Amino acid sequence: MTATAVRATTTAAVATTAVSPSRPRPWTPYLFLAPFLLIFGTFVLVPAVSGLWMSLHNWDFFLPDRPFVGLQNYVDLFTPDALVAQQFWESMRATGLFVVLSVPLLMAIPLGLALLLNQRFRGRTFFRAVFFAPYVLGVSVVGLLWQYLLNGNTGLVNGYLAELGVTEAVPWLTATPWVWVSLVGVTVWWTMGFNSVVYLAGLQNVDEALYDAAKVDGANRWQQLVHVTIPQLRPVILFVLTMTVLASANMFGQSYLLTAGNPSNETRTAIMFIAEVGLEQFRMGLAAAMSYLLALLLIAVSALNFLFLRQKES
Amino acid sequence: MSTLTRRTVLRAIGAAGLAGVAATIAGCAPTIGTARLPRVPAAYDGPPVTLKFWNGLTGGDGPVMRTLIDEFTREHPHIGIDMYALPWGDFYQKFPAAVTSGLAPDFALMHNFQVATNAARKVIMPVDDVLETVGLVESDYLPVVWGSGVYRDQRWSLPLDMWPDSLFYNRRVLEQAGLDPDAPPTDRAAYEHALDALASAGVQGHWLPAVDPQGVGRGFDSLLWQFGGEHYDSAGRAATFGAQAGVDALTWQQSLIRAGWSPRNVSGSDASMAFKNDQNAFLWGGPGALINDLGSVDGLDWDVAPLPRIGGGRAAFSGSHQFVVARQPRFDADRLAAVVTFLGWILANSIGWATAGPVPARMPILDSPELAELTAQSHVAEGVEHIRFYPLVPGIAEVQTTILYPAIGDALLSLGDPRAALETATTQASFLLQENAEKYGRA
Amino acid sequence: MATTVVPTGSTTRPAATRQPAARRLRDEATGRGVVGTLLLYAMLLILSVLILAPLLWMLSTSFKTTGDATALPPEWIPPTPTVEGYTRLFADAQAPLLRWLGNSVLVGVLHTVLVLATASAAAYPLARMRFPGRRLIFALIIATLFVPGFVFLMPNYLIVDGLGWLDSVWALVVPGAASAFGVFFLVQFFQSLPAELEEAALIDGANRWQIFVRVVLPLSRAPLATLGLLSFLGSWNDFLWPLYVLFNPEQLTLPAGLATLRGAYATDFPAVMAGAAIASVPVLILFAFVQRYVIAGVARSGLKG
Repeated sequence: MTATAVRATTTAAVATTAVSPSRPRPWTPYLFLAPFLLIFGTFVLVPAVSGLWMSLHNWDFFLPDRPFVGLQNYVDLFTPDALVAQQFWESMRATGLFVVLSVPLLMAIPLGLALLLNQRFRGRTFFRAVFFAPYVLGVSVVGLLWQYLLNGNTGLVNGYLAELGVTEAVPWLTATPWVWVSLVGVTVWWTMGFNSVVYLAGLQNVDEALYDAAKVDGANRWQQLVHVTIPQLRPVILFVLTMTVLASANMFGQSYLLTAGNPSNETRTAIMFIAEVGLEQFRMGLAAAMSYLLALLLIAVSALNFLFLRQKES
Repeated sequence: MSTLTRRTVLRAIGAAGLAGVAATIAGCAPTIGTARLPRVPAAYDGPPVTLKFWNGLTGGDGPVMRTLIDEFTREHPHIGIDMYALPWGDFYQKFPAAVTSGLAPDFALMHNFQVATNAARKVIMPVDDVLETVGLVESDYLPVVWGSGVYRDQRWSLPLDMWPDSLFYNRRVLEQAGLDPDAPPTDRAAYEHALDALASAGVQGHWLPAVDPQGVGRGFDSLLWQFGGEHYDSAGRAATFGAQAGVDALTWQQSLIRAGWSPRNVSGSDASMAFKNDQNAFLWGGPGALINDLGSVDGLDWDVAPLPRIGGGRAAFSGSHQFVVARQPRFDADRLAAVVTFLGWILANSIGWATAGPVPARMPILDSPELAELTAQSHVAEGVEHIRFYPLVPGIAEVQTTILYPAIGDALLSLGDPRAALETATTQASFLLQENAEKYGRA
Repeated sequence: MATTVVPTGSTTRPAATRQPAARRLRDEATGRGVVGTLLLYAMLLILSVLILAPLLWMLSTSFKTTGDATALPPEWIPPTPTVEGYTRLFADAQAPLLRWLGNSVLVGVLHTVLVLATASAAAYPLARMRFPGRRLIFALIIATLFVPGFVFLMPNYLIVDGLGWLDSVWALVVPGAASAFGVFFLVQFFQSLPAELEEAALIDGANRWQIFVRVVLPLSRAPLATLGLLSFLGSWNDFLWPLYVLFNPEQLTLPAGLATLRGAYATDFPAVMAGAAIASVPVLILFAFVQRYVIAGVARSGLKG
């Protein structure tokens, strides 16, 4: 049966397999796939299933006895009085808030930046590299740096604000709403270059003729942006949006390093809480249940994103 | 099968078929070694060994411990000690995980309120057998300290020190408000009178941290005990901190803010910064965190005394650093003998540790003339008879830090009804206690 | 399609012809006037300052004394320059920064090699061969593109522990190496390659492996470079996983190691900034040299999405 399958490949292959001594053996494709599938199976497929299995147990890493509890872990997460439910939904709120606050900025600012960089001028490569640079530093350097810059008592930011006459020290890392301003601002500072580079590539693929046509029609810059650039960029925008929503929903390092979840766990994101419950308190069954819940939600959001933008396109 | 051989076997199979192994592993619990401690002499005299020692001494206390280790190594050249200090939060995550993975250090230092948890998880060893060898005698310790580290009739840890929450006071600020800097308040009337006097002098005298839950939570702990309450029932299955004593304690904390004696929304670092800048008179905190920190500020005139009696009796929250022996897949008698030699040495020389801030757990050392020379430490030591520890219940630290402390913090931020705040926390804590009791009860 | 929406008022149409000749010349070269150019550079400069100033402040602080590090008003040039921040850090056996840097590079390289090797080998038959199970395998791989990675956190911790990989580079190199994105990305590219090249090689008697190594891979340098760069950046920036699977200081990667400095050097800003500087300066210098390729790689990742 494999022989027929192989013979039915591209017409070229069909022509040669009949005569070639090196006609692929039936197991050739599987040999190519084997290394990938070994890792994929071990660290993706098996965990996808065993994670679900874990989530049905009261699974403590250190205790030998891990009784089956059915859906209890999930039920707990929907029991309003249960502490873990309150904490979990509080962390989901933090993640949701961060997504809502950061995604628009991470979509719009890099687009503006890409439009700037898409012009012809001297030093373009230099500026492009400068804007991308923070991204290569990684979250730990960014976290340490901004923890110092935003320090309420001794930070540079408050230092300059004081120079400007703001006498009350702004609690950037210890009180709402400032913590959110800090987390979102630092994230924008860190990753805007990445998104603008992706936009930039999309912009360079826009057909110049469309702009010429628009100019002939008398469109000003804003009209060109709205009626040519953005529609042409739609696939890239969809890509950046999906990527950014996922990245923001996965936010961990910034909160971990900058605010440590403070004040009173308000900036403890869902990922942070899952890691805390699963890998610090080692209540892994519960943590697995939370991961699945969050993943389902994210998959739904991604699907909606996708459908929504597809719909607009047609 | 011991962990070591399990690892080797798995590594070999791993090369052959990761996926299959993964499937089987996901189903079985880690098998931690069942090896017992070998009998060892009090002083190690074998071939050179280097021990691994993990702890959370990342502050000013770290260098003090390293100096002591250097001193020990000079006296015992064949025993090297590799100390690894990581933030306590990271320590409690990595230490148990490392033990179950067969990567454990030889010994570690941990908080008294974490000992039962780690004993139930079977990542540390019972140390009854080495008590005599390291020279631990009951009469040398306060009952609460001696009793700490005994869980399910076995001893799991050796107490090194105590760090009772104490009253740190800014002498200059008191003096400027017309108060006697040599007589810090010892009871509620005197304390509130002092705060009034400070207020008339334009100083908010007791900056009460509400943002940093730990600082404020331990203040509540002390007050709860002073008002005659207990956190938990004797079995450790239900929370009782919401009873009248708890309400009184929290109400008093809120009254500090209501009366204007404390600003609102204070964080721990705000409070200590204000203290250092002569804008705050009183700090409640532990000697480990504060003695060296305040001592390093030039020109600051401060001292420390036991906490004032606000409720009906005297009481102060205290923690204690305790040595534990990590469970190994297989014990090496030489290494264990070296560990015991070090523990015996440092418990006998714990006066050296006192410079880090905490006071020695061993009473003869606490009463020694050497300690009297450390002014701040000796003033802290005046209050040790009234110290209280959290009960030895597995998972208790989690209940405190994830439920009680944040509840107190929230109540101080919002100044909402104390009884309601504590009732919610009580329900949540009882739920978690019950869950823990079942979980660890099966172990 | 979109251009039809643009207003087509006849009065605005001859706009270009109404412009002065000199202005138009400049327009043809850059597409904007003097004012526009100045405005553009002004915006670029402001943004660059916002990006670079924190980095300069980091460098400056790393050469300050602890007192000067928190002095107000801020001093950009260290009043009393010193390398004590660096000496304090290097004296600390618990913060082997160069070792962390080395670990990060090692992990990144091994991880990248593994991703490239497994993803390209897997993508080739999926793109170019017909065999039973092809659709199923491809569908499974694509499906995981939409599953966020943290779902695998708990079970993978157990698996890595079971394999005896905790506290070792393997815990970081292998588990994330099955790149569904990589396979998807390369399948798309391989499918776009002309079949004639393979035919010729087949007629010359080459087997599939030889075709893959000698024909397909050399043609795929650009997408492989893109995938490699993204994998390296991903590994380099990975923070959560190393935080939890590594224990000993000498095993840590840079991100996990730097995080430990927060506790030990909470208020020693010169030392912390020295650590941050050591972690970032070599990377920034390297980036300055290869930025063209990095940016090209990142840019390409979005085009097919």
